[in-house]
Amino acid sequence: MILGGIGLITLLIVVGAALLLSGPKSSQSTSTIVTDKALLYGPLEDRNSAGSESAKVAIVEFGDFQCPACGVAAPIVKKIKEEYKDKIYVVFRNFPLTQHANAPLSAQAAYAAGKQGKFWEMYDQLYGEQAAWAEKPNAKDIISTFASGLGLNMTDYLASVNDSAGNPKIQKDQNDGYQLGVKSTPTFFINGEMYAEVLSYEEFKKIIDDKLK
Amino acid sequence: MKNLFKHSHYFAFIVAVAAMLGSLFFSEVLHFPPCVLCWYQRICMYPIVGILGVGIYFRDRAVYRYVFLLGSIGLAISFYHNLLYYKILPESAAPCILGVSCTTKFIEWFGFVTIPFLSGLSFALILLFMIMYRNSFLEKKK
Repeated sequence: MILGGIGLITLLIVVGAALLLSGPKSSQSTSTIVTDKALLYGPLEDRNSAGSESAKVAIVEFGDFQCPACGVAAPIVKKIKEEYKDKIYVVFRNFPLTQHANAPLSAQAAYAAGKQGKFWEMYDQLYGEQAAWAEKPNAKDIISTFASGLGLNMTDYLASVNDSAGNPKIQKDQNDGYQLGVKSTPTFFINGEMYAEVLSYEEFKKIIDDKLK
Repeated sequence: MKNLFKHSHYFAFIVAVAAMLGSLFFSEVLHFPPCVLCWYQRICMYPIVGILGVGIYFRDRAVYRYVFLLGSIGLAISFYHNLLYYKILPESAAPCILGVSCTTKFIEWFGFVTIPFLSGLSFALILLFMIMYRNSFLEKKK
């Protein structure tokens, strides 16, 4: 009887938690629409973007390269980017979370690649091969191999990555994220509407197509 | 053996005190920030120390009832936490939340002893000792 009671409570809590925390999501935007483009996109200089700024649909991703959920979203973002090209404007902004030890390093690496015009290539590689470096103590060396594989100028790349003062641009991204109410990664803003979740390809497509009409 | 059953509530109390001090040691001395699920387990574990302590002091046999409830909820949360921690339940599609992740590995003694493991073990031991305690006087009645 007692063991049955313990078992029942356990079962109810586990099933409830599993349903609540990882159940299907509704892909509804969760806040009011942000119209401040400067706050959403960040400064034009060194902005990591793709597509056309004058496009009808703008997607801003606040991401952390070490976050597994962002890794799940990355190929979807890539597919959307390739499919819609100049019909959309995609901006990536850094939001390295404190619990991810290699998140600042990876953000620096992507930034350094962006300085040499290879941001999205580095984005794909960091997310695509996340398991290879995310928890590794020698992540810096592993990511450097990605950089050299992309044909980056390694002197410039290493100077940027080794800058112990950190990167004010990354800090600015994060501060803007805080101001916008970002609390998790990935968080997307589609025409200023916030979606704090991994959107599936179909969900992205539906939202974009609705806005393109 | 009967004596062991009769005094098993003391063992449960010792386990609860050790779990409470251990969790405080991790957060306050080693500065490992507790995640949300750790906090929920603390909410269940810490009152057990007080409830069992008072129950033992007043020789209240009914104390096992309250400990069962808190212990069961704690064990259930811990079970779920362990499923996430050991990647039996997938977490990858859940967004990474600002703050402390419930799957960050702070300790890993002997390759498998982790904080959620210790928590689950403590709740399980407390429940086991309370069942032994309950059975000790229910058998006497018969």
